[in-house]
Amino acid sequence: MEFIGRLHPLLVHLPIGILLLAVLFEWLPFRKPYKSLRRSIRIILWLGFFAALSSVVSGLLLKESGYDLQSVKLHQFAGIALTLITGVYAWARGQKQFKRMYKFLSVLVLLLLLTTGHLGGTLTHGENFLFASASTETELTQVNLQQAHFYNDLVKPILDSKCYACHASGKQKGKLRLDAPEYILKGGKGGVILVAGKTDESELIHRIVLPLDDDDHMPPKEKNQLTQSEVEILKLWIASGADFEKSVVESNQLGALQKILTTKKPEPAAEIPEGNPDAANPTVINELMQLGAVVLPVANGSHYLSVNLVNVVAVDSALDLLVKVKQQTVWLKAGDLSINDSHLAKLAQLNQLIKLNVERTVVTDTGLSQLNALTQLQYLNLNQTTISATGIKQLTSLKNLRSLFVFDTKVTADDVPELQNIFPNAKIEIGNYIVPTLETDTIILK
Amino acid sequence: MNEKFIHELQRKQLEETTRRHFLRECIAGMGGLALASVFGSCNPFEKQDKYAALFSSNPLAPKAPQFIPKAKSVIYLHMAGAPSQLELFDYKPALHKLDGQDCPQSLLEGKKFAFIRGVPKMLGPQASFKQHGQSGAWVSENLPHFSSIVDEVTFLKAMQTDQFNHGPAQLLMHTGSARLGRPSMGSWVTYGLGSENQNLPGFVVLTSGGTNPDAGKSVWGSGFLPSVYQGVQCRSEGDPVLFIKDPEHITRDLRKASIDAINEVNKIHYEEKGDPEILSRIAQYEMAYRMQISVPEVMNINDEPQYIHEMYGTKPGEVSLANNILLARKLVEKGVRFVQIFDWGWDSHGTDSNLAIDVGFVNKCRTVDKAMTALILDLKQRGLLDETLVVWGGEFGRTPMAENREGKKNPFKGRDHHTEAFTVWMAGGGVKKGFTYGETDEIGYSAISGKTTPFDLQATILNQLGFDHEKLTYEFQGRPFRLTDVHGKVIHEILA
Repeated sequence: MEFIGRLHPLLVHLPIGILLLAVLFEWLPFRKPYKSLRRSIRIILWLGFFAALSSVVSGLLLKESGYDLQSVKLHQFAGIALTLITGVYAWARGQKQFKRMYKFLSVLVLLLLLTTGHLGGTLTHGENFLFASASTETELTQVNLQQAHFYNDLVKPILDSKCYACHASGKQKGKLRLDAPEYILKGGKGGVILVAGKTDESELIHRIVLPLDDDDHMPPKEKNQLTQSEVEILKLWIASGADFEKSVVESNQLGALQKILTTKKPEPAAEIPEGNPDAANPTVINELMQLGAVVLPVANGSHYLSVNLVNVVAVDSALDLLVKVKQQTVWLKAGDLSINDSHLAKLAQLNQLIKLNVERTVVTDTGLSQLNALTQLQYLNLNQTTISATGIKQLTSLKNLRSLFVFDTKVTADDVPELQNIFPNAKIEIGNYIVPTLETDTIILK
Repeated sequence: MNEKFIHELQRKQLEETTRRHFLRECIAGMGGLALASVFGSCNPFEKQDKYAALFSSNPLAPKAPQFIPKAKSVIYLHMAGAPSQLELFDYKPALHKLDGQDCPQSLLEGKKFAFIRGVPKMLGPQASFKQHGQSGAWVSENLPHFSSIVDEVTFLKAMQTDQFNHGPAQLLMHTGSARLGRPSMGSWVTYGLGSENQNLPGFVVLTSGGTNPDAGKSVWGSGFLPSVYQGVQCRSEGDPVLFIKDPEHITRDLRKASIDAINEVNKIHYEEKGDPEILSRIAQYEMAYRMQISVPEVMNINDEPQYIHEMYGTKPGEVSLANNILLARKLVEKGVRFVQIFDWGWDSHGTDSNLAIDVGFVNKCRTVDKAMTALILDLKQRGLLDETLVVWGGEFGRTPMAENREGKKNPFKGRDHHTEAFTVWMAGGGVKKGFTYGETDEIGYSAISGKTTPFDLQATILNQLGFDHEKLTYEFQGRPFRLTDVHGKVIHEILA
C-alpha cells in the first residue's frame, strides 16, 4: 500500500499532461485544419479521468506518511474536485445537448488542474519555492544588527531558506518542524535537537557540520547547503543560549555577529583556477614528453596541467614548448635544473602558474624581478639558490603569494619582517631548523 | 574487446616476470638518475623516440589522480612490533593508581590476548608526560625531540584493529586484509599514479632493526596487481639493491655490448610484430643499465651536508632507522610516491631487557625520535611537507595490563598485544596541524570516541593522494577489488 502511495509523485504528472492536451484540443480547432482533433477529445478526457482517479487514490494512501494534514486538505479537495469535473466533462462530451458547456468545462478543468498542481508542488518543495530569492546571504548582511532580533531576524531566515522545505508546515521529515520555537524545542523523531549553550551537543549543528557525503548530513547532499557564515550564526545563537526572545544586543553577541557578517574570510588558497580551459595542444604535450617532461592533468577530467621537468635536459626547448600551453600550465616543477635568469624570462610568460618550484637552480636576484608577471602565483620555492632579500623585494606584484620558500638562501631571519610586509598573506619559510643533540640521544639503557 | 585482450596479455606477461623481477622490470622502472646525462651524450633523437614510446606502454607511466590531490607522496614509518601508546602519546594518570592491582574481570571476560593468561596485574605508565606546544598534546619524556613539533601533527588516538598477532595485523594495516594475497598500499598508489620520476621506482621500501617485518615481504607485495607495482626494497648498506652490480669479470663495456645486442634482437622482433610492449622492453633495458650507476647515487647519504647529519643523527655507512628516514626524504624529493619504512624491535613484552618497556623500548624511542623530528622539519623547510603525508604507527597497541606469559610474572616490565586502542600520528599532506582525534577510556583500554580503523587510515591516505578509495579498483577473479575492500571511511575530521 505504501508503495502505491509513493507512486503519487509519478502518477500526478499523467493527468496534468493528458488534461492539458484535452483543453488544447477543445480550443485549437477554431481553424479548419485542426477540426478533426475534436473527435479525440472524448477518449483523451476518459484517459485523463482515470489518470486523475489513480492519482487521487495514491495520494490518499500517501497522506498517512508525515504530511501536515491541514495543507494536504486543500490539495486533496482540489484534486478530487478535478477528478469529478473531468468525469462529468468526459461524459458530457458524448452528449450533443451539452455542446455549449464544453468550453466552460474545459476552462474549469484547466483552473482546477493548475490549483491542484500548485498546491501539490508547495507540499513537496515548501511554500516559498516559487518566489524565494536565490540566497539569503545578501539579506543577512543587510540586517541592522543594532536593532535586530537574534532569532527572528537572523536565525529564522536561515532556517526558512535552508530547512523549511522539509521541516515546516508542509512536510515534517523525521517528525521535525523548525518553523516555530515550540517545534524547535520539541525536536524530532531522534529526540531533542537543541541544547542551549552547547553547540557540540546540539543535533541541529551536528547534522549540518557532518561531512557532505555522510548519510546523516543535513541538508541532504543534493539540496542547497548552508554557507559558512550561516553555520557560524546558528552556532553563535546556540552557544549564546538559543534564546527566542532576545535581541542581538541583549544577548551580547553584537561584536561576534559583526565579525561573522562583515569580515570576509580569506578564501582558502585555490589549487587551480576556477573553470576549465580548452584542452592543451596534444602535439605540444607529446613534444614535451619526448624531452622527458612529466605532463599530467592536475586531476582526471581537468585540462589544467601539472608539469615536472625532472628528466629534462633540453631546458630551453622545454620552456619554449611550455609557453605554447601556458593557458593550461598551473603547476611547474623546474627544480634541480640549470634554470638561469634568461630562462626566467620564458617562465614569466606562463602567467597562469599557481605553483612554481625553482629550487637548486642558478637564478639570481637580477633576473628574479621578471617573475612579477606571474600574478596568479601562490607558491614559490626558491630554496638553495643564491637569492637574497633584495631580489625578493622586487616581487611586489605577487599579491596572491601564500607560501614562499627561501631556505638555504641569502635571506636571513632579519629580512623576514620586511618581506612579510610585502607579502602579508604569505608564509615565509627560511628553515634552518636545528634538532639539538641531547645527551640522552646516544645513551643506551641496559 | 580487443583492447581488453591486449591488456590481459600485457598483464599476464608482467606477472610472469617475477623471477628476474628486479633487473628486468623494476630497475627498468627505476631507470637512471644518470639517464639525463647519458642521453645528452648520445644522439638524443634516436633514444628519445623510445623514451616517448615508454610513456604510452610502460605500466609505471605517470597518471593523473581522480581529483586534485593534497599530497603527492607518502612516507609511512611503521614501527614493527607495535610501540606502546601508553608510554608515548596516550597519557592515563588513572592507570598510575591501579598499578600493581589485579586486572578487573570485566576487562578480561570474552577477550583473547596473545600471551596474557589468567588474571594479569595492571601496569601504570612507565614514563612521565607533559603537554607540549600550543595544541597541548601530551607526549612522554621518551620523545623529547618530537615533543617540540606536536603542533605540526594530527594524532589518531582511537585506532582499533581486529588482529592481535603481528603478521596478520601488519598485513591488515598495509594490504587491507589479514590474509596473504592482497596488494599493499604502496602498490595501489603506484598502480593509480605511476611513477613521476621515471628513473626511480614509485614505491621504495627501507627496513631496519635487524629483521624484516613479521608478515614478510607481502606487506609491500603487489598481490594480484602486476608485479611491476610491488615495493622495491633498497638496502642502506652494501649494494642498495641486490644484484645491481655487474657480475665479476663482466666489464661495463661488455654489459653495454650485451644490452645493445639484446636490444637489436628486440628491435627486429618489434619490426616484425609491431607490439609496443617490445619498445618498452628496450627502453627498460637501457634504463636498467643506467640505473646501475644512478641508484647507488640516490641511495648515498654521504654527500648530505654536515648540518643535515647532525639534524637527523645519521651516521653514513650503517643500517639504521635514522639513515633510512633521511633516505626517505631524499627519495621523496626526487619524486618517489611511496616510501615505506619498517623498523623492527618495538614488541615490548618484557620477556628480556631489550623488550622491556622501561629499557629496550626507551632505546628504540631514542633511535627514532631525533630522526623523525628532523624529517618533519626538513620537509617543512624544503617546501615538501605540504605535499608529503607522513604517517607513523604500529600494527596495534599494547595492553594497560602487564604481560604475564603463561600466567607467570614476566622478568621485565612489558605489555601484551592489544587491538582495542592505539595511536597513529600523521603530519603534512593536507592533514590538520596540532590536532587530536579520538579518545580512549581513562585507563587506555579501549577507544571510546572518534574510533578509526586501518581501513579508515587507508581511505584517508588515498584521499589525500587524490583517490576515492572506493573507485581505485582492479578487476580480479571476476570482481573489482580495492584496498579497503568493503570497508573504510575517509576521516574528514582530521583534514585541513
